[in-house]
Amino acid sequence: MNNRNFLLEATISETLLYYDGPQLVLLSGANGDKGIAVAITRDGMEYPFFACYIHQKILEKYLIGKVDLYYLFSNASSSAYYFFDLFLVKNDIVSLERVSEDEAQNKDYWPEKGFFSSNHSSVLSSRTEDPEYININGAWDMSELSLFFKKFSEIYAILFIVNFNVRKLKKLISSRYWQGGGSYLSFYDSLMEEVENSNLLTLKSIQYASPGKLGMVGNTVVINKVVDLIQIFENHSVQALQAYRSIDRILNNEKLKSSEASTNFSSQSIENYVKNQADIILNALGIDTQNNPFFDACNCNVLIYSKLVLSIHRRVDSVHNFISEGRVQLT
Amino acid sequence: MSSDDVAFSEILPVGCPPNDAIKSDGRTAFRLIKMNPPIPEDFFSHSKLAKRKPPDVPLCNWMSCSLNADKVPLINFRKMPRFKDFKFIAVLRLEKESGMIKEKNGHIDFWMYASFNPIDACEIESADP
Repeated sequence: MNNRNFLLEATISETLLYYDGPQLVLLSGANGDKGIAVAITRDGMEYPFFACYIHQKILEKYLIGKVDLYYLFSNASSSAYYFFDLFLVKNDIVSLERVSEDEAQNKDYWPEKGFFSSNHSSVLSSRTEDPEYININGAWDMSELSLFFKKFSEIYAILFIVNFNVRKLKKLISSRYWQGGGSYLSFYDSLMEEVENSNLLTLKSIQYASPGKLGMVGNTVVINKVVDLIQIFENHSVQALQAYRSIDRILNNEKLKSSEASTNFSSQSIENYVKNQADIILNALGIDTQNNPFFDACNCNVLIYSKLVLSIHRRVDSVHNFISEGRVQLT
Repeated sequence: MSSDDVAFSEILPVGCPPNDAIKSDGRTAFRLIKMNPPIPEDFFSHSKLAKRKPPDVPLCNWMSCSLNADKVPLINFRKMPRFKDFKFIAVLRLEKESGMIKEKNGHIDFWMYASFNPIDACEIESADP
């Protein structure tokens, strides 16, 4: 194989969307470069794909839903585009054919704006065995380490499910009574059971010193999303706490904490207010509430939504307390 | 032919549908189609449409009809190059007599029985948001 051919080969590392055959695949280049490819229609090829390489950071943004597929193609490395024929794949390796600049502008080959990773039919297993490290400091006992990891894992689990399987989240939410106490604990236990084995978060190493570090292995995209969320919360924790207390007070006053999911608020204005306060908490975590998967997963039931958001807040606040105490640094 | 000796719309290979496929159970599922009214070919698998299978795609999947558990992702699939011309969604009611299904992350592989006529079992909606 000559050098030129070697550079024009890529490996299909994952099928991201399968619908009547593969429609969107992830590529790995010879140097570990990442690429993306969409199925197209083109004369002279049996199962053509239009592909480009992309920067790892942009791919990560796409996978966590921060940018759409069109953005990926618009930011192709070196503005270079390729064709390959899936019919000619051998051991997951495809031969890339460089597309001329003119042909690369053919909009028939491009995805339209607005296709996000939440539409994938497969969960990307971004798990690596290289741990993501969290710096720790000060004195810890085992129960504190256990508490920190448990709360971090619960946030990881709900972010994983809401990003990759919102239908499952919907089912889990609708199967719970949300009447306080154990129902929240069992909800998060169930969430963690739903994270596929290949994406489970595990504590791989504890370097206990001052300073030391915790090594976690899991889906790196989701781990980074948890870290981002907690860092954003750090700057908005006061607003979030005010909103938390407002909702908590109203649920107490209205005797809704242990009531059934179908129970109504005493007025529409109070319900609207509670929805707004719950949105404020999610915004404080950097979660967009314009297109809100959590509210959708609650079937737009404000009572359940508010209880879910409060439960998320408690977990984030619990992790954040370790940061406030100076015992955890997320960098 | 399955262990129940029910004829599928195509002769499936051994082990297809897989062991974890189940009989459809009165659920609703969705499929993108190009035209209204639909034609039988809108519900044919790639195999039944005589399309050659790429080497790395499992034959059993190639012989299924892709459906989706939800309508919204299908609306978004239209942003993909191959589905820009698919302007309608068939809303299918799948009973036990319809066929076998396997769902994963919203995608449903559907192996329909020979006796099942999807056109009689569906309603057509616009795929516009």
